[in-house]
Amino acid sequence: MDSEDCGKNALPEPFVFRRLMDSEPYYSDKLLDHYQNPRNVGVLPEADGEAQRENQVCGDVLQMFVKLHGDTVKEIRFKAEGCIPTIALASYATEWATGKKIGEVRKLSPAILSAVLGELPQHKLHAALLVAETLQAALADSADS
Amino acid sequence: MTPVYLDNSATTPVDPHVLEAMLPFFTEIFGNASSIHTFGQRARAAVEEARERLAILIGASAKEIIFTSGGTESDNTAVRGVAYQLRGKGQHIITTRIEHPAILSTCKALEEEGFRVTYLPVDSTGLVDPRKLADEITPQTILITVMHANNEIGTLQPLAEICAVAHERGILVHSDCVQTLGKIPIDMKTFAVDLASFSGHKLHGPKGVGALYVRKQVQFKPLVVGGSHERKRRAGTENVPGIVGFGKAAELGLEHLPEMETHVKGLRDRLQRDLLQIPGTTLNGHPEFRAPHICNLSFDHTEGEGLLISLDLEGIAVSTGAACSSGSLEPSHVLIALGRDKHHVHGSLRFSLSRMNTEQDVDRAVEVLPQIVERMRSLSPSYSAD
Ligand SMILES: Cc1ncc(COP(=O)(O)O)c(C=O)c1O
Repeated sequence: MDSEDCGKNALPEPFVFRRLMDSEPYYSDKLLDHYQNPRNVGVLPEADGEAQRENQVCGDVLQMFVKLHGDTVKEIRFKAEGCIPTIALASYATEWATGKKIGEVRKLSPAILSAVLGELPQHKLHAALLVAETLQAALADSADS
Repeated sequence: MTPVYLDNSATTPVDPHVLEAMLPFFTEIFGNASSIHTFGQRARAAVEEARERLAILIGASAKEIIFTSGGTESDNTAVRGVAYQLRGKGQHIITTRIEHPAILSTCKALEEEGFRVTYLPVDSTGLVDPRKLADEITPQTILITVMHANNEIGTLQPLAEICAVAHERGILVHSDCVQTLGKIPIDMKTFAVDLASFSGHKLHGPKGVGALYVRKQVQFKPLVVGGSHERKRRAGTENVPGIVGFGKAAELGLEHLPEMETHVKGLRDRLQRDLLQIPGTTLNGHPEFRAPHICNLSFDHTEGEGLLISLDLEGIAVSTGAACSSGSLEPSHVLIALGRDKHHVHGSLRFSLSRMNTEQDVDRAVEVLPQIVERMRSLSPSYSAD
């Protein structure tokens, strides 16, 4: 940082501010992109399976709807009231699973989700768990019907 | 994009005059304030001038002020210091459920050492009831510690009444005044507390320096022992540049004090009024008995950390009491103590201002936040039902 950057201003200059933010991001850009522009938000009235799960600790709620075509996931939608990684990972998971075989989607675990958009901080691992659980529950629901 | 800083309860920008006052004490005036040569005596004079400045701001005498490493150390020193000093008399301490962790963790640690601690509940606005406090007092009670303004919601406690109840029974009162120094007039001649904690970085001073006010004749066991600094009440070579900066901040704090009730409160009230226009928004804290710079709001069907990061991407800094937002999995103990349910705490944001904020800062927040709230609610499984 050039010494001029500090100056005598009470607040840091905007570009210093951005650079500070960029140097050690709390969340990865990929994760923030899914959070800011979530894919597949909504409900599917004609869903083959649906599930809602809640994280008892922090209160995040996640709903997922799946529509199948044979043994393939044709469409997925989600709704969430939750923290950033919950929304981002739900968005990622729905995008990733669309068009995949059910057997493959069943392999999407909390461990995979916890790293796929950058390593989640320890206290955010519950988001990966909530997304994996809700997705698997929606798939199980579709198998029941 | 000019950044908008609305997180002044976390810390404040250092005033340029404070920085200027500090700089010589890193270079030419580097002496140890305990040394008797000229190098040392120049540093000593600056430390004593800073003590005088802080004393003037709080209406105390300079001898009643001990410099520390910050609000946390002041809180630790006050509670432990009085507890150890008076343990022969009794082992009961009364505090509240909404204290800063610096107090709560100290009380928890003392419980492990055999002290008994009562954590008073608060009402839905964050107020302690002095009558309930009176009911909890026993012959064993040696200290009551109740914060002046809460750092999350800003609610101001009825300290005059609390002190009256305590002093009638000869019990000492400590108050964490970290959030009110330079925000609200404090005059120790009428403000009856026996000990009070302060921190430099909440009023445009540097971080890592604070003070403990101890009323004349009140005894306590020092927490940090060693040399005879601070009249044997806090050992360690004085942080001269930090203390000088804190002193300058106190001087400026006194000068700017009238702006708190006008400029800062005016901005806070407009921010609050405009944001409360967003449907499903409620105020956390007391509508009236509140520090002028703090406003804590809950936005139904949102999540605080998401709001915080979306605002941050727009260059606006605030904070949240939502769970798992800052490394802790627990939602704010303060909002929980108000009796708010989980979902209410989930969507909470704290806005905290300083004299350096402008009308434009409030304009930006009021312009940007409604869209962020709306966008987040559009994701919610339960919002459209309302
Ligand atoms: C009410 C209150 N007490 C104590 C502290 C701790 O002060 P410091 O950061 O100087 O240790 C803070 C600030 O974080 C505070 O808001």
